Amino acid sequence: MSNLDSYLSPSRKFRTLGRFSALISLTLAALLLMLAAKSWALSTEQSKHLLLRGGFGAQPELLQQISKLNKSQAVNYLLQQQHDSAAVPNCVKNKLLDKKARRKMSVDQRKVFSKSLRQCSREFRSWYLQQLINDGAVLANQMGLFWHNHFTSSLRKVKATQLMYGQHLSIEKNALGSFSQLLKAMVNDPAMLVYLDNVNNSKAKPNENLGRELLELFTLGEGNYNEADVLSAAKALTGLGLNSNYQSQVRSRLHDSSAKTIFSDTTIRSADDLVAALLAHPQTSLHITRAIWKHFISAVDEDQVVQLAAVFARDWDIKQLVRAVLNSEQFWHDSGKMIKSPVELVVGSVRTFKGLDIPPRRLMKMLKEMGQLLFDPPNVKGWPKGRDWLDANKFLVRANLMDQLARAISSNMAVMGAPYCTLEKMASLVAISMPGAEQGMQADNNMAGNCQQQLTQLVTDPIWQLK
Amino acid sequence: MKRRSFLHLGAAGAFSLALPNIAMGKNSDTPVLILIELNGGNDSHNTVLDLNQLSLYKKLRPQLGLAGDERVQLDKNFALHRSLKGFVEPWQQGELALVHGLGYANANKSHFRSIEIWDMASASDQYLSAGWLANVLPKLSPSAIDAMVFGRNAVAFSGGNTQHIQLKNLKAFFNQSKRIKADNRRSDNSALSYLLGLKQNISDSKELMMQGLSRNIKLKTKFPKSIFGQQMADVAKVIRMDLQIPAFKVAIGSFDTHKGQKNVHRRLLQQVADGMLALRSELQTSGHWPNVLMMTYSEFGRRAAQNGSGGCDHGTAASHFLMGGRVKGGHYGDYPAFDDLQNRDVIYNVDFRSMYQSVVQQWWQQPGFELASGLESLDIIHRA
Repeated sequence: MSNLDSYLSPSRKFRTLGRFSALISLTLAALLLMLAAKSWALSTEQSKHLLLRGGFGAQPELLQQISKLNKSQAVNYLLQQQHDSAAVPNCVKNKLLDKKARRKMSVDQRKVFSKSLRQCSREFRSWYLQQLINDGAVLANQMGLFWHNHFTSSLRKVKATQLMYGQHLSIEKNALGSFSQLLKAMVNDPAMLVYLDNVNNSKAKPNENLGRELLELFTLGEGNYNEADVLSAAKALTGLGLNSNYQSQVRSRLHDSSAKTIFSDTTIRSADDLVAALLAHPQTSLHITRAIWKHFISAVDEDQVVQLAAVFARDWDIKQLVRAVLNSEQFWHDSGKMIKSPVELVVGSVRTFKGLDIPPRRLMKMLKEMGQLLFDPPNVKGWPKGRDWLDANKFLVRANLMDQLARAISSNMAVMGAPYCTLEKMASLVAISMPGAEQGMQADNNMAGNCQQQLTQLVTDPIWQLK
Repeated sequence: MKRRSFLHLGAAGAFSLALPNIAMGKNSDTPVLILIELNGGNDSHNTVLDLNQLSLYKKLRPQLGLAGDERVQLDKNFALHRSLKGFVEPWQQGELALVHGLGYANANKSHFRSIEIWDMASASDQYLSAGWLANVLPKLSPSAIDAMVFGRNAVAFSGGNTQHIQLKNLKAFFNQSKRIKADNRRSDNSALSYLLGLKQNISDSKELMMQGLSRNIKLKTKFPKSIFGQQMADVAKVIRMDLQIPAFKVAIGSFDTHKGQKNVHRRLLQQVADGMLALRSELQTSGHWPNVLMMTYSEFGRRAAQNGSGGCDHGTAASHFLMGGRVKGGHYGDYPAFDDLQNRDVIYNVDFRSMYQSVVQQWWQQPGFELASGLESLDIIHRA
């Protein structure tokens, strides 16, 4: 044994040593992991920043959800949320009366019909607003709104809610999907064809509205094409209209099938050719990448846009692009430097203060007054962006609405109450701290009676409008 | 900081300049310009007609063209859309100038870019950051507020040291600004600093309007009920307050008549005419008229030919109006020739910046003002 012992001992010693060192390295690794987890996990500042930009405000329960994740995990978490959609109002699914039937209507019937269309528009908008307030897929909804603002159409002109709903479904399907598919769907989208007058675009009488906006706003961006390109695009789109069931269809009789030159060296004949030419044009990926960047970050980094656009143009994967933008250095150093849109302000406020009881009709009215009626951008360029949301007049409108919000908070304090009443919680709701207000807050921190007053002060201060 | 010291200077100026005027009660020194934006691209070919080109016009616009009973004769060579028949009287008084063929080289047909070009007085390929009046107004008047914008688009005044306020109408402004208090916080965050700046302008304007309101002005003219008409009534009211605000802007639209144009265009032009004429009548009565100038503008004119949808598409050159107590009435520039089209569009012959430059040089007596080197001015204003 002793021999054996002596024979074995070094190795035993070694083994013990080995065990010991394994233990140490394990401990070290665990320690490192803990340290790492601590330094990788989002700070409260970072969590609220991500939720203010990638969602609709720093709502307490979402804040909790992502607080243990690191940056890219949190971004993935938001990207993965699935929609939980409420049933759309019945009127949206009713069959649209065909043109013949509408022509036969009497004056009174026509009045009733228009009234029912307007009523349905209201229900539809209200449905969408509720969706934005209740749906957990906040980032997908942010992108849905982004695309509604990019591929604009408005209920005011389209009138038929059915068609706008169809467009909404196409947008929702590809909001974080494929841009090439989205573009193709939008060029052939019935609501779009009505909105930009392509239903009147024929070989004999070309109407270049859709062709022009497709180049200027939807793909290349202003300055990257000439008038000859607009004309060729318009011609390629001739005949693309609606059949009697309001589905898009090329009516060959009205289509100009001649070979047309676009971008000086590409030959196109049809709408599909046009879409292919647009996707092949290097400005398209740049334009879209820049727009998405600007949606999430206050200042454009042109070098980064160029890099991201090159990747984007390979497979048009919107989700991948959004992920890259939200993981960029610039995104995480941009807190509080953007201004909330009306939808972000209203939906964000309601989502943040759970239990806040404001009737949907009032919320819709607020949005309208601030200039963001859902499904109704003011023109083809879409709703304003950034500080263009505000001039002195709109500032006043917002100030009054925030007063209303403050009153609603005050009268719902009993329901909402305590969860918001610590200094820390309050600070986690706004993008940046209120200049000159911390001291007052700190002093009153323990006085529950003042919570109401502080929340009121919070939402009526201009900083509540920052994200 | 800069802004504060600027306002301070303004206040000192007000003491020395404004006081004698207020004592006199009427006719503030500062000549007033009212910009009227025809938003959407007004179809100028159906607004002002060159009767010498009538047969070509009819050929280009067989359905869209104005028939004899849809127009009103202005003089031997020109007719106006019938909605503008009220313009004949000021024309005969020599208070209306028509500037034809206004535009710029390499016309841009995007609504958004082209109105930016007009608002910033840039060349087609020049990207500026300030409006053409953004730095002109402050030196003209001691008022804390240099411009009031009713409705959309304040770009002409933005990006410089002009202090402007944008509002829907006076009544709503008073109601809503009641609770806005002065806020002297400053911030390095540019978004927040922008919001705080708006808040400050509102509180300044509120104070200024309160002064004016104390004069209890009652309009003597009935203004049309349209939004535009009511905004023109508010402009008249503020001018009568003698607050020395040098510029106003009102917008009306949409003139983007791709489809079913005739009814919309008739209605819009009627509103423009009624609003402008009511303001003229009100300020004639009050004695302010010699100090008031109205000028229309729009992002572009429209195609010479009609399109297939009962309307017409984006075009280039257009005619615009200047109306005022000291305007040198008449025609300026040449009406574009319908037989000389470039890519289906008429060709401009007066740079729109010439019109702007003339207004600043002659109306506000800034002879050194130049919008582009070598740009000619029109002799369009009578000296006071």
